Amino acid sequence: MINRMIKDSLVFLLFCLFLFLFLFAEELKNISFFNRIPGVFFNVNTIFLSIILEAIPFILLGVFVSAVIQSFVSENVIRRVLPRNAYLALIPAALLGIIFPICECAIVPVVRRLIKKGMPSHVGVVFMLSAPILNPVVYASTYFAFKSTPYVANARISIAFICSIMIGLIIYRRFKGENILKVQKEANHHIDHHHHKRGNKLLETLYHASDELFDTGKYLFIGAFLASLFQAFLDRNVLLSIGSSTTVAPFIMMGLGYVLSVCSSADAFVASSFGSTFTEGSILAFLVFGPMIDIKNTLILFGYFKKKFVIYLLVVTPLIVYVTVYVFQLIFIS
Amino acid sequence: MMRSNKVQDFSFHHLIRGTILIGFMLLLFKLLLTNNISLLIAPKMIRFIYFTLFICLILGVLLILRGTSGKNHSYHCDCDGDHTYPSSFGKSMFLYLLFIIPITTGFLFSNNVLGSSVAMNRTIKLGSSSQVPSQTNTLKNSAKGASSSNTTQTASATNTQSVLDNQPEPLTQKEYEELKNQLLKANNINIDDNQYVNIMNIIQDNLSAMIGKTVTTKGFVYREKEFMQNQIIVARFGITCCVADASVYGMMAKGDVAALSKDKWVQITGKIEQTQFNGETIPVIKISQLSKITAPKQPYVFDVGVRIE
Repeated sequence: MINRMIKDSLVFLLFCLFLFLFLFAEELKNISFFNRIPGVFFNVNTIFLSIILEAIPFILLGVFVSAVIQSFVSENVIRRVLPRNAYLALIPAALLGIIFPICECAIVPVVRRLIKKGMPSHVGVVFMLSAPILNPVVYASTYFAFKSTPYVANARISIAFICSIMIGLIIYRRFKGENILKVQKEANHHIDHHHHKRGNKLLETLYHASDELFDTGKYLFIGAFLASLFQAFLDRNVLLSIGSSTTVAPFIMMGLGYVLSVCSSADAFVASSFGSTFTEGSILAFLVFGPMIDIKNTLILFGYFKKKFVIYLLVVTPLIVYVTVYVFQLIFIS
Repeated sequence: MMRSNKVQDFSFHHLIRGTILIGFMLLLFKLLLTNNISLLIAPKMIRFIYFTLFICLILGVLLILRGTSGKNHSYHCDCDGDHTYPSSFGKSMFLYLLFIIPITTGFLFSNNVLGSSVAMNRTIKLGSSSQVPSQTNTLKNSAKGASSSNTTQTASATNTQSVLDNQPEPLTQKEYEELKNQLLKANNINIDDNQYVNIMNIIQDNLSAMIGKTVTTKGFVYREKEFMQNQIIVARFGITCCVADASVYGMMAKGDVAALSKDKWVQITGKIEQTQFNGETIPVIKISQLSKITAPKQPYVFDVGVRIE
């Protein structure tokens, strides 16, 4: 009971803290202590907040879409819609993003739910990797950011399509029939909740969404923090000296895409700021790899999928992207 | 089952989560009220913030009710028990501080504006973005033809936009071409905040046709390491979605600027010339008029883009 009281008062104190900050944050800023904080802290904080503010609405959207799938899409529907052939199913999965333009933050909960509902894992993975790139919003922003070289947008789309299909095939070979989601202790829970009288379905969905929001949110916060550190401290001009190498530059840019964790609808503008110093291949590698995997969604992946699978994906994806970009360079850019 | 043994514990989690959501909601509300939100994300994203604020309020209130009602058995979610609550007090402290600390710093320091120290770490585009030489040539040729006409006309209307106004709609291809032709004809170009990125791109891409025109631009003072005493960049951060994707735009300017300290806001007017910098041909403004100004309420410019038909 005492324990309970302490915890309740903690919550109450927290509430008071928020209320106090809401009302008096401006006055607090004048305290001399804050003047001694180095300016770079503020920059990290600003970038961190902006990543969070940008991602949270889409995480929420992802969580709700996942809740809707949970309630309204049955296993049968998924089985009927997807082609029987495991290889054939990859193609619609890769193009699904055109109809559902979901960015990389929102997609992970959705894909997890779909896989749980019986979508084959490799198909889910292909959807997860391609949707953030193969969608109209991203195409438009890429087209604009590279106005003077319009084929960059087309190349980005094509490479992303090829890469996601290839990764899907590899995942199919390696994890066929295996469960790639984190295992839950579900044995008796499953039986248990069926004879429970269901309460308000809407309420359940909302409870469910809030739990999932915190589950995903913690990874988002850690990921956004790491990304904002890189954003504030990594001097991108250092990269320019290696930008002209056709073999090394794509790797460097993939690494950059990974650590910066810029949303896929905006990363083309970041890429275009590198301008002509980097090879086109490396710009494409940045544009394809960044949305597929970056710091913040790596952490979310680790939260939802088995460690073995995530590590495998983290190794395979950059390799495939690198090889594809390299081949693309040989064929089209010389 | 584990769930029913720890009813007490769960109500604590629900309460604290609800409180965090309410705190986050208050933070968003405050950012919207003080308009500091525009220092973090682009105006076109603000409607999503309203959505988030609304959802956080609902979920927060719901969770607090759930935590206080004591009827924790009533809910079993359909998700096969994949929502786990932290098992020890230490773990929950870590989890919740992860949310509480950013909310606190958000309340306190959200009015920070990025400046030279961040710009230094980013690449800045001073010249043309075109990488295909043949295309640049065609652009230049067409530009030369257009530059012969000599109408005096300011490029775009200088309607000072209020900060809360929504981001201007992206231009269509046609409007972009129109803007380009307008700039090519004009003798005086005022680089307006609304079309900042577009105008900069047009000037950089059609440099040879732009030489000799008078431009007016404002921005903060920024220097590259290699710069001479008389050179500065009048720079702006251009934002697409949020501050994390900010890139530095700007134009080099030369004149009597050695005394200006970095991050000071200035408005300059001068003729465009061209110069070589790091092996690129870039525009440079020869300053004829320079005034120090106070930082504008909206220090960032927004990359509105071009719509594809």
